[in-house]
Order: sequence, then structure tokens, then C-alpha cells
Amino acid sequence: MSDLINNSEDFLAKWLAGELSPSEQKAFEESSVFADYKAIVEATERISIPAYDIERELAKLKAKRAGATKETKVIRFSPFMKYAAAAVVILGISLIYFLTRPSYITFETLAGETETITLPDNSVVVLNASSELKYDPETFGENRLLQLDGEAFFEVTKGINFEVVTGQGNVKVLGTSFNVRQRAKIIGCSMLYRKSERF
Amino acid sequence: MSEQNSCAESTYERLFRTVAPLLRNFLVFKYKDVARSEDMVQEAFLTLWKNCEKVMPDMAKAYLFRVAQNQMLKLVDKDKTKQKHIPFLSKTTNYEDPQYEMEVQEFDEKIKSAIDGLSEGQREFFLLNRIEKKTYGEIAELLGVSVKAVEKRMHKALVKIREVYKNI
Repeated sequence: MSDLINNSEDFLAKWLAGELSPSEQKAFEESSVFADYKAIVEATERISIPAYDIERELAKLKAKRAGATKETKVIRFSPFMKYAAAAVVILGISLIYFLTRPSYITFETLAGETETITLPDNSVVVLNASSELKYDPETFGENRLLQLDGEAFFEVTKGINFEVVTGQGNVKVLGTSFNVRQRAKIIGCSMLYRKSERF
Repeated sequence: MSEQNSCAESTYERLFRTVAPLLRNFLVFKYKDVARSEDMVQEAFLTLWKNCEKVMPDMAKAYLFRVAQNQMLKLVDKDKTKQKHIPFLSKTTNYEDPQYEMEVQEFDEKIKSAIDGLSEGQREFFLLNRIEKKTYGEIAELLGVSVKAVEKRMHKALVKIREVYKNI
């Protein structure tokens, strides 16, 4: 009999559920191990686990649920705050723009007027009539770059690159005197002496 | 018309009253920790409530069992070393003979510690059947296994209990 139990996978399960055939049932009841199993099953009838307090647990759950439903707090800006925030953003962006944009020094001549300008490196520019010249004093020391619209005569102190940018092309020299004339889409460059490059 | 979700307060409460006690006992059988099991029941029902629109009442039982077991597994992994015992209660018996009563209690203690020593899988099925009086078919459906698997574990659990108590 104990072989039957050891070799079977579900004999005892069938016995518990009352699914054994009458002959199997009879053989089992007469076996030596039957008393043990009967006693075990009877013992399980006498045990239980601590009771579950449904009402207390349900109340606890409801309290937790109420806590969990609290909506996420939304802080709304007053209309004034909205505009103030927008203004701060705009001010901030403009401030960054003004601080970082090149700050040019600009010279401008009217028709029939000329102007003589001394640059920071002691180069001299004679700005002819109806012309505009501008440069960035902050970067001029490293890179002598000027923007010209119109005509000007340059007498350049020797040094690093000296470049004149116009709408039609650029003139780059190291040190010389020259004239740049850019009028109505024509650029001309006339030298007083020495060499200059025109791009 | 059957309800489409578990959001209605009446449906939700009915589910708690019917499922929570069984779920709690099942978790106790399996993990031997009453306080934690009851916390997990709470968590499972909170999860159900958050997802109530997606869970039909018919499906809620299986859903709750799955959620609670998943959460319990995460916790059990963390402190596997902790030794727990199921806090079994013996029902009061009224035997005339005090000597016999003492013997019965002694025997019951042995059986309890044998059950305590079963594997998780054997114990959960065995106690669902013996204490909760669930049929093999009901257990199989509840835990998503075959009836055959339940029977095998029941058989093994009984063999194991006898072995343990004979050796004590």
C-alpha cells in the first residue's frame, strides 16, 4: 500500500476529495499508514489562523483611498503674475542680446561732407561724402575689421591684418595707404603706394 | 446587465468583503506573515481602485491575487533570511479526558510545525483546501494552474507532513 502512495502522484489528493474507487478506498483503510493520514487530516480540522477583521480593514482601506485621491496641487498664477513673468523673460532675452551684440562705433557723412577719423591703432581714415564706416572697438585690437558703405581713404599703420568689408567685397592690407570706393554696386580700390589684396 | 468595471462603491465594497478575507488567508498560508499579508491586501485593493475602470468585477479576484502576490514577492526577495511561523490557532476542544486532550494538543503542534516546514507551493494549496475548504478545481482556477497540479501538491504535502511528524 505504501508503494501505491509513494508511486502515485495524486493518490492522497483523491482520497481527501473522496474520489477513490471503493476498492482503492478499502485497500487504503486496511493499510498500516491509513491511521497516520487520518490523524493528520483530523488535526488540520482543529487548526485555524487568526481571524481577519473585515470591517476594520475596510475602514482602513477607505482612509488610505481618501489620502490617495488628493489631487496634485496646482498653483495658478494671477493675471498680473503671468504678465510679470512674460516681461521678465522678454527683459532677460533683450539684456542678453544687448550684452553680447557687437557694439559698433559708427561714423556717417552727409552729401558734401567729409570726416577724418583716427582709429585706435592710429590709422587715419578720411571718410568721403555720403558714406558710413563702423567698427567694433572691443575686437579692433586683435582684428582690424571695418565695415564701409561708400568711399574712404585709409592710411594704415603697419601691423596685423587690416580689412575693410563692403557690400561688394573686402580689401585686406597689412599697412599702406589706399582708397576704397564702393558706390552703387561697384567697388574700386586705388593704392597710394605698396600692395594690397582685394577679395 | 453585468457591470463593466469595479468603480462603483457598492461593487468595490462587495469585492472587498468577498475577496479580501480569502486573499489575506492565502497570503498568510503562503508567506506566514499576518501583518504583511494584511498590508498587501490593502495595497492590492488600492491598486484595484486606481485601475477600476479597466477591471471587470468578474476578473477582479484573479487581478487582486496577482497584484498581491507580485508585491509580496518583491518584499520576500528583500528579506529571505527572516524565519517566520504561521500563527496557527487551535480550536477549543472539549474532551472529557484531560490526558487525551493533552495528547491531541501535542500531536496538533507537531502537525502545525510540519505544515510550517512545507514548501510555499505545497503549503498554500494544502491550507486553501484544508482550512479554506476550497476544492481542487477552485484552487486551480484561483491560482491559474491545472487541477492535476493541485492534486500532485496535495498528495506531496500529505506525504511530507507524515514523514516530518514520524521523524520528530
